[in-house]
Amino acid sequence: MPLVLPLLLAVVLFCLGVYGVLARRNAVTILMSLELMLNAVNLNLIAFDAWRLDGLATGQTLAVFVITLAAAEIGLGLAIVLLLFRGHGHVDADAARDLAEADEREESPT
Amino acid sequence: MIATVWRVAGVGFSLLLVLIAALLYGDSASQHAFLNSQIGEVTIGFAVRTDDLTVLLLAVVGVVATCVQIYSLGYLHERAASYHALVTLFTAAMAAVVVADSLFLLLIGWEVMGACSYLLISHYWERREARSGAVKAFLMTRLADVGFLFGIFVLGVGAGTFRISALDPAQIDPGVLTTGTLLLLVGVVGKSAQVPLQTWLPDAMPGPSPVSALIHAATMVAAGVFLIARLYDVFAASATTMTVLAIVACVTMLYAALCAAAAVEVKRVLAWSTVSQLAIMFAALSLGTHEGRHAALFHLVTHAAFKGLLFLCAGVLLHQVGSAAFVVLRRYTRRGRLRKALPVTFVTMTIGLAALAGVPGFAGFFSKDSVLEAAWEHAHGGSVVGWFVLVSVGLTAGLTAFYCMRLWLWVFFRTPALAGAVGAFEADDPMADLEDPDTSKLKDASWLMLAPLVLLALGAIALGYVDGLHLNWVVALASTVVVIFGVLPAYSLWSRGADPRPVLLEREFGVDRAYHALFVVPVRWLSKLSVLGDRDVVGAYVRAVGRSGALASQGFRLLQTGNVQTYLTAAVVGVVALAVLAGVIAS
Repeated sequence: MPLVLPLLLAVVLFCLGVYGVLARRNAVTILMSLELMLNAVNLNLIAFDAWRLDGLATGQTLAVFVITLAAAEIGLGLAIVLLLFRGHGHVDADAARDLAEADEREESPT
Repeated sequence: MIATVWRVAGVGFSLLLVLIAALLYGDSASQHAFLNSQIGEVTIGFAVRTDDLTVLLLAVVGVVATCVQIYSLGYLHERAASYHALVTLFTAAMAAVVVADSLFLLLIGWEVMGACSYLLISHYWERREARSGAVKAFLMTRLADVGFLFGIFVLGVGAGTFRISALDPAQIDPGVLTTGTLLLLVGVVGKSAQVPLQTWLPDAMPGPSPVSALIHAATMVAAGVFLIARLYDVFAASATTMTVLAIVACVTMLYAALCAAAAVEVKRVLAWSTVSQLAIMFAALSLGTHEGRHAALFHLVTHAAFKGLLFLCAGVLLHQVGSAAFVVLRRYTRRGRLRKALPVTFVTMTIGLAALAGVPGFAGFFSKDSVLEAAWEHAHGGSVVGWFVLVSVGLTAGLTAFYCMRLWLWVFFRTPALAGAVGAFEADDPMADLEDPDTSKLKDASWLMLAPLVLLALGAIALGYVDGLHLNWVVALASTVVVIFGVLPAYSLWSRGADPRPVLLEREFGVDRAYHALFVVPVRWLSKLSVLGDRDVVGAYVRAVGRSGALASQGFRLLQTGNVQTYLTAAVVGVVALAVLAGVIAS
């Protein structure tokens, strides 16, 4: 199988992920899109590993690492989303603007 | 307290050391140089020397400083630690000037004295007039010190050495010699408060009285006389400088004596009399003869005793009564209380005033006589300067007797003609409508303060005889007559209860006012201008930088929306842009 096919698939996956992260408002969807991007990278790693065949399977090893990392990351991310929900009653990334510079008007009630 | 006692003991001990050293080694000259460094063609270093002049001045400084330190223990209670430390430093600086054989060591002592006098005059810094008096003293002496510094350069470079003992007037170009000595004279005039830099000394009176005694008797103003006596060969070699010195001295002595005759505060009278007496010393020095120098130093020593005494007496008045202004003292005197309440002060002050006035038998009489004698001899040699000095000193002697008598009578004696009224000073009485002060509690000061008075009073009598009695009877008789002519009008005015003070004299010939208009006002304008330049020109740029930063940051604030996705979008766009850029550059 030519190398270009899995790479194309990975590009499509990654772009979907980027789109999801940048454009979706639901925090859970954003996390899922993140996973999509990670897995696009994984696909890249596997594809190049199969193409090079260096005998040490470095690409596969790295992919396993990334999967582990992704598991940890999703745990953390979901915890943040959970806290967001508890604190605000929604998981809307657009509405969570606590980091914005507070106008004096909005600051005073809190 | 322990530290204070230690400092007082230190000054006393150093005095003892000087006297023992003088007894052991005599006054034969010896020098020692150290820390020499070669700079170009001249050697700059430190050197000390001892000779008759050094021993004499060290003894005077030691005695007066010890008296002042002991007296201060009783006189001064606030900020005593810094006070005693500064007085000690002051004394040490004067000692450095006295023993210096290097012009630079002398300069160091000279400048340290200026700084110490500034700090001591402003000892009561919460008082406005003390602060302004200190600043005035500092500025005027500093102004003169510029001349002094350049005088050292000119003389030192002209002679190729900065060692005083190696300065040989014969080897210096006459023009350089005159320039150098004239510049040095500027420093001397400033330090010793001669015309035209005389106004700082009377304004230094808000300082503590013992400090005034120290400044007026032993250190600071005496340094000017000492310097000319030390460099006498060099000064005497320049006729121009000596003539200038004579003119300055003669003008100063008459001017100051006239001002003293119209002053209405004990310390101010004494301050002006110091200026006047210093001028007499300078006049004697300006004769350029050995007798002149001898007479000047003799007068310096006796003056140190009686002027120190008088200032310490004025301090007792300030301490016990609370003021040394005539009008306040008159409130006590008009009932005849002051003299009986302060017997020791009265007697010692009488001795001091008699010595200052030149009453026969007291120290001032003999020393003033020796000045007159030297001038007389010089005048007989056909010298115009001699006649000039002779006449001026004679007139000043009369005026001195006048103001001493005036001070003595008005302060200590009730005037029968006034029948208990304050008298001629009523116009400037700030407490005119108040009750009379309670005089029953008035008593003489503690013995800690009176002991130095007695010691100095003994000196004010005995020092006149140490030089050996060699009176020129004509001169002595003439000066006695002059003193009587000075005393009589003061007595007759007092007995009539009148004290006419011409406006011109009260304003001290308007010198202060003229200086204010000529120097102070333009300097204020200049400082205002520079403040404007700093605040509105230089400051404008600084403020503009800050303001533009604030403006720019306000623009950047708009980017901080708080939306994570916006930030991420910006990051992605940036990364893509960078990647494209990298690709373009690589290809």
